[in-house]
Amino acid sequence: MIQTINLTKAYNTQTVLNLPEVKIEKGESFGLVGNNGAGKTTFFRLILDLIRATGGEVQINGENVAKSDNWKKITGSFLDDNFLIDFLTPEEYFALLAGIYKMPKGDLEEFFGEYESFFNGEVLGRKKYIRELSRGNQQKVGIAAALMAKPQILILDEPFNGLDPSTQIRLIKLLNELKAKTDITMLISSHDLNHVTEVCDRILILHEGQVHKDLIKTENTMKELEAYFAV
Amino acid sequence: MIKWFIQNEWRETKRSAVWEQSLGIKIFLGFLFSILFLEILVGAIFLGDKFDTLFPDDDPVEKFNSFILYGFTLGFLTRFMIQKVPVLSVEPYLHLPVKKSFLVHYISAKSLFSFFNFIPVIIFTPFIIFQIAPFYTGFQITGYIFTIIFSTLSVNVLAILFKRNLSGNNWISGIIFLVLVLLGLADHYKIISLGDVSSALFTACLENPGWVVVPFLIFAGAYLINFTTLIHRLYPEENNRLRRKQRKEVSDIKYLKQFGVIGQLMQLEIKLFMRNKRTKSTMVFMPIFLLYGFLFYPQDIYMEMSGMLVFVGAFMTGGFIMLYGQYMLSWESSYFDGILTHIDDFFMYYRAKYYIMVFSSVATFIVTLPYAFYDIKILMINTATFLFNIGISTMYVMTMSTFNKKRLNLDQGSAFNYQGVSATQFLVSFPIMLGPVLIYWPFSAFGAGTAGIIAVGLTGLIAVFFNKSLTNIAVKRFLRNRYVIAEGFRQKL
Repeated sequence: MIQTINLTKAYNTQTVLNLPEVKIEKGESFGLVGNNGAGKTTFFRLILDLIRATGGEVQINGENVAKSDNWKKITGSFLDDNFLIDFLTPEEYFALLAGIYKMPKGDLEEFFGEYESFFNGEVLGRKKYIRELSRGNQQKVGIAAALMAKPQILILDEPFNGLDPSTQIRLIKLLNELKAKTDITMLISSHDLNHVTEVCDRILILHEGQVHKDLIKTENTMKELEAYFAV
Repeated sequence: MIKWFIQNEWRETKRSAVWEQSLGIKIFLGFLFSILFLEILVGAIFLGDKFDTLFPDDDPVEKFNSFILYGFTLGFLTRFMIQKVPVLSVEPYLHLPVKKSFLVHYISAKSLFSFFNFIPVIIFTPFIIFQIAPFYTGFQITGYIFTIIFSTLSVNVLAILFKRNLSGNNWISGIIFLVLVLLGLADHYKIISLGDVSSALFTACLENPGWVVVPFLIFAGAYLINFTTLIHRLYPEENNRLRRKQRKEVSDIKYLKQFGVIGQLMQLEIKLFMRNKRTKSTMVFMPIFLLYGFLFYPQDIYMEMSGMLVFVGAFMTGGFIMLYGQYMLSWESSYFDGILTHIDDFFMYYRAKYYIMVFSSVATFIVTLPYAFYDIKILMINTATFLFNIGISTMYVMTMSTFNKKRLNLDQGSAFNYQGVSATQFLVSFPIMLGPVLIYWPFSAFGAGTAGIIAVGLTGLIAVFFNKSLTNIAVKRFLRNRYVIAEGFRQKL
């Protein structure tokens, strides 16, 4: 479903990412871990065509993301607050995206209902602009927005950051339900090894822009991860 | 510590995305400023040397002094329009052991080194050397010099005070503006003479240097007001103005809904403009643009110069396109990654912007219709420039928008957020204002003024017919530059 072909990204002469061949199959839940600067966000930005690849390409369904826009309809993503239109109320923001994704009107109402518990009453109906919400609540808006169009591919960069513990647990539950019920392909990066092993079946350790280890989850995965990250 | 601050400022300016603008623009701006500087210098030396022969009937010093107040008023207005309010996002320093008063003094002092403060120096020095030095004592001259310095600095601080308060929607600033306009009118109709007042004031300062305390006190007072307002606004929380009052829901414009995604995008753009401080304070200029006609149309001299009328027409009917187009895409910098990942048809995206510009141009055109009462040819000229604007100017700003890679912070209110007001944006405006005149001139030079006006309108009309393919040029440029634009927008200033 997602595939890198000789993908590299360099700033000036320094290569920050080099992924000759990473394949992510349909329905896979793919976790990305690595220390700061390992290239996680860079990788996601390349998949989402937000930065130009220095060499190679990323393909979604066999099409280069930089050349085609077809992937946008099936991909939901939230990397950081550069995705949020902060002078809208959350309702307006969701309505705008529903319009862009051409969702039928009823679907929006249904979506609000589905995510009521995830929002925990702190997002909808508050008559506040997104910029006036707390960081955690902004994060919730971004994650929900990524999910609203029922994407086939979901890309979240450190989604657990800034969320309160209850919401973190809700998010894990939500993602696991999605995984069980649909054949969604998920790409999630996180610094929290517990969270990422709870959600993802395949975990890739990035080290200085290269694949350090590509693990299929077993009982030993957590130990392997801890071994890598131990100082 | 000051050294350290200056170093930080220097780094901030040097490393901001602005400087990575293309070399061409930098050279052009440098050229523009050196020409301006040279012209002022040569003009000042000429004036200083020959002033007594220009007005043989008057005392040269008194006559010269009568212009000063006009000069300062002009300076005030120019600064208000162009000069940057000193920016130093002090937030990163607030938790450090730095005195608040130091921070405020620092940002205030920074503005004193503005380009504008050196213009009076250039203008006054030759005059003082040639016309004053031979006739007055050293003590008097020193007093006069300090009078000028303090007056300049007062104008500097007042302009900043004014600019900030106006952006805070302060009524008082509006009233002061009204007073300025009324004074101007009173002077124009000879009810009072600002020239006489100016002459009396500054001549008194020259003859009796003790008066220098007056400009000094004005400067000190303005500085103090500036200082106290700033020091109370240093709380980031208050700068963000988290007002908890009930929000008046701006009801969606139902009419736009039927246009599907384009309608939605237009609606987004409208909300963008209505809900952000930065955009709102930009739109304050719209009425000023529209009133521009009153400056020219009542005067017979200008009515004879139809080139000037074409310029005025272009300025008024293109006002919105200019204000909006200067920062096109930059307006959306804070959520640009979202735009890139969500929108799969950028032709449509630009289309929404095009329609916004067309609709607002139609609105401004309608507002300028009553100017036809001055002369029916104004109607003809404004129609031509209107067509030019919806045809050419819209396409021009859309293409130019792909060069914008400066992030704008729209949400941070009040005191410390005035980035982006710089000469670069004027580059976008020049062709809009001057384009129609350039088309018109060759025709009028051969006495075919009417044909010239028709040519302006026709150029626009042709562009309107080809608007789809012209939009595609902008879209293609956008797609090529999208990574660079997005990268610039991600850089928080």
